[in-house]
Amino acid sequence: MGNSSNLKKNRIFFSRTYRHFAPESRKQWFFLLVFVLPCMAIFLFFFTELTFTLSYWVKASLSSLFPAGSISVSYRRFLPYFGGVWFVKLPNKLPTGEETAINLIATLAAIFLILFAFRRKKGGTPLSIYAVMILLLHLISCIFFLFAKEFFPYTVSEYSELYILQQVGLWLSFIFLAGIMSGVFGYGKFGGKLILFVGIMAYSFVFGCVRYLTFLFILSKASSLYMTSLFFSLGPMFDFIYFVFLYSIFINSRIEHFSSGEGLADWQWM
Amino acid sequence: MKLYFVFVVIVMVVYAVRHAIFSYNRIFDRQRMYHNDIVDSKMPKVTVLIPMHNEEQVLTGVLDALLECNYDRDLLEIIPINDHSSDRTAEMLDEYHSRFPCIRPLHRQSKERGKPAALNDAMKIAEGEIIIVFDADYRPGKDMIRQLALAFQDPEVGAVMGRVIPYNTSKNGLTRLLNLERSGGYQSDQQARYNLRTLPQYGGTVGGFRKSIMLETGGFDPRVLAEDTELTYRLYLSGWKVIYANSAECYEEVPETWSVRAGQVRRWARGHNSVMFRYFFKFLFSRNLSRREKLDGTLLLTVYFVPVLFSLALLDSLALFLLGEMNVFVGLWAVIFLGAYNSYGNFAPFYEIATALMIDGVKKDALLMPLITFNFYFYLWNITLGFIDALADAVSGRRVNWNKTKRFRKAHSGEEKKL
Repeated sequence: MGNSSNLKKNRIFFSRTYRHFAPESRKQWFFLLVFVLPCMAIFLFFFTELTFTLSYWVKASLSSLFPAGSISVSYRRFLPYFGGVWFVKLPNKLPTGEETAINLIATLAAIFLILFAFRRKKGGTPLSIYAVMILLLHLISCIFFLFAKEFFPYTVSEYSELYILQQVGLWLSFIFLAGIMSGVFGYGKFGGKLILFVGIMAYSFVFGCVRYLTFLFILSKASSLYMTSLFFSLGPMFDFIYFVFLYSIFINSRIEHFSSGEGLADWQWM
Repeated sequence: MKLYFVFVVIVMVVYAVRHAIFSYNRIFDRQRMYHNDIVDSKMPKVTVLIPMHNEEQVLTGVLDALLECNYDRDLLEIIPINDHSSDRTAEMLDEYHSRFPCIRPLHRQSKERGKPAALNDAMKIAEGEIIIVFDADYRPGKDMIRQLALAFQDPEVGAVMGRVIPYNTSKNGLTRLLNLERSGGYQSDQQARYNLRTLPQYGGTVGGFRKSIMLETGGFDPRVLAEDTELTYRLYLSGWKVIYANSAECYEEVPETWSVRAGQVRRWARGHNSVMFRYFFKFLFSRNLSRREKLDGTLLLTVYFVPVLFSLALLDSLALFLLGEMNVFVGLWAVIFLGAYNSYGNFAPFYEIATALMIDGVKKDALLMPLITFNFYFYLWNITLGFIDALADAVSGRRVNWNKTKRFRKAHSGEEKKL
C-alpha cells in the first residue's frame, strides 16, 4: 500500500489537439536584437573584405589552369555607405557549333527518355519533372547558342560579377531568414537556436564559395552554354534546400525533446 | 516583364507571411477550442452520406466503424450512395441493409454521375437535418458523429470540418510526404484559421452541413468538381460560419503512387479554380464578411491560381536572364522570389509543417521536409494543367466528368486490423 502513490501518474500530459507553447516574445526579440541584428551589421561592414578573400582564393585555385595573366580580380561599387564587392575576371569561352549541336541532341534524347521511355515506371515524379525542367532550360540555351550566339548577354566575367552581387544579397537575406527561423520558429533554449543560426550561415558561406569556384571552372573550361542551366538548377534554389535540410535536422531533435521527459512539461493547454 | 516578376514576388511574400502568422498563432497563442466538451441530450437526427463507386475493397471498413459509433442509433441514418458501381458494391450494401436497417443504400444509375450529383440525390431522401459526409476509405472513430453533430447546436454554424489523418503513412516516401502536408494543413493551418476567426474550410469529407441550407440554395452544382470549396464560399456569402474540429480526427487513405496523386491534384486544381472564377468578385464585395475573412478568404480562393502565376514567373525570369536583364535588382528579387516560393511550397510551407509536426510529436519524418521543394515542381505542373482544364471548362461550358481517386487498400488487410 505504501507504494500505491508511486503507481499513480504524477502528471497527465496534454494531447496534441490543442497543446501549444507559452508565448516567448521577450526571448525571441532578445535573440533577434542582440544576436541577429549585430550579425547583419557586421556582415554589412565586412562583406567587401569577404568577397576580397573569396576572389583571391578562387583566383589562386584556378590560376594553374589558365595562362598567366588571364585571371584577375576586379572591384565594383555596390551598396552605398557599406562598400563594393570584389570578383574574379576570367577569359570567356563560347561553345562551338558542333558542341552546341551535340548538347542539343543529347538534351533532346534525355528529355525523350524521361518523358516517354520511363513514363510507365517513373514518369511524373517530382524528380523527373524537375529534371525535365532543367533539361528544357538547357535545351533553350542550346537553341539560343545555335542561332544567336553573338547575342548571348553575359561573358564569364560578367556572370562572375553578377554571381558575387547575388551571393552577397543571398547571405544578407539568409541572416534575416535564419534569424527568424531560429529565433522565432526554433523552439527550445538559446543555445540550440544559436547552433541552428550559426550552422545555416556557416554552411551558406562555405557552399557559396565552393559554388563560385565550381561555376567559374565549368563556365571557363567547358563553355557559357551551361550558364543558364547552372544558374537555374544550382543557383539560389539550392541554398533553400540545405537551409530547410538543416532546419529539419534541428526540428527533428526538438520534436524528440518535447515528446519525452522534461520536454513534455513545457506544453500548455488551450 | 520586371514588373510582373516583382508582382509575383509580392504575392509569394504575402502567402509566406500569412503562413508564418498561422504557424506562430498555432504554436504560441491561445487555442480556440471546439465544442466537443458540451453535453447535450437533445442531439439532432444525423444522416451520414458515403459516396461510393466500386468500393468493394474498402466499404466494410467505413460501415463497420460507423456502426460502432456511440451516437444514438434512433438518430442515425447511414446512406451509402452506390454511384454506378460495376463491382460487388451494390450487393454488399444490400447485405448490410438486411442486417442493419439504419443503413439505407441508394443505388444510382442515372445519367448524372459524380459526387455532387450523388449527394444531391441522397439529400432528397435523407431524414436527418444534419448531413455528415465520409469518403468510403475513411475510418471514423467512435465519438466522431457526436463530435461533428455538436457543432450545429450553435445556430450560426452552417458547416463543420474535422481533422483528416492518413493511415497508410508508412507505405512509401509519397505517403510520408502527404502526411507532412496533411499535418501542416490541419494541425496548423485549419486550427489557426479557426483561432483567428478567418475562414476554416469545409473539406468535403469528415465534415457536415445543414441540409436545409443546401436544399434552399439549390444543392450541389454537378458541374463543380470542388463541391467542398464551393460550399464553404456559398455558406460564408450567406452569412453562415464554418468551424473546425481539430479533436474530431478521422483516418483516410492517401495516394500511394505519383500518378494517382497527380490526377488528384489536377482535379482539385480544376475544381478550386472553377470556384474561384465563380466567387472571386462576389466574395470580395460581400457585405456578410469581415475584412479579415475577406482577406484570408481571397487568399484561400486563389491558392490554386498562384502556382500558375509562379509558372509564368519562371518563364519570365528565364526570358529576363536571356535578355541580359539578370542584373542586381532582378538578382536580389530572385532570392526573395525563391525564398518565398520555398516558404509557400505546396500550400503548407516548411515552417508550418514543422510547427504541426512539433505539436503532433511526429519524429523522424521531419527530415523529409527538404524534399517538399522538389514536390512543388510536381504540383506546379499538375496545378497548371488543372487551371487550364478549369479555364477550358469556363470558356467552352463543357461538362465536367468526375474521376474517383484510386484506392490501394485490400479488403481486410493486415493494415486494417492494426487500426
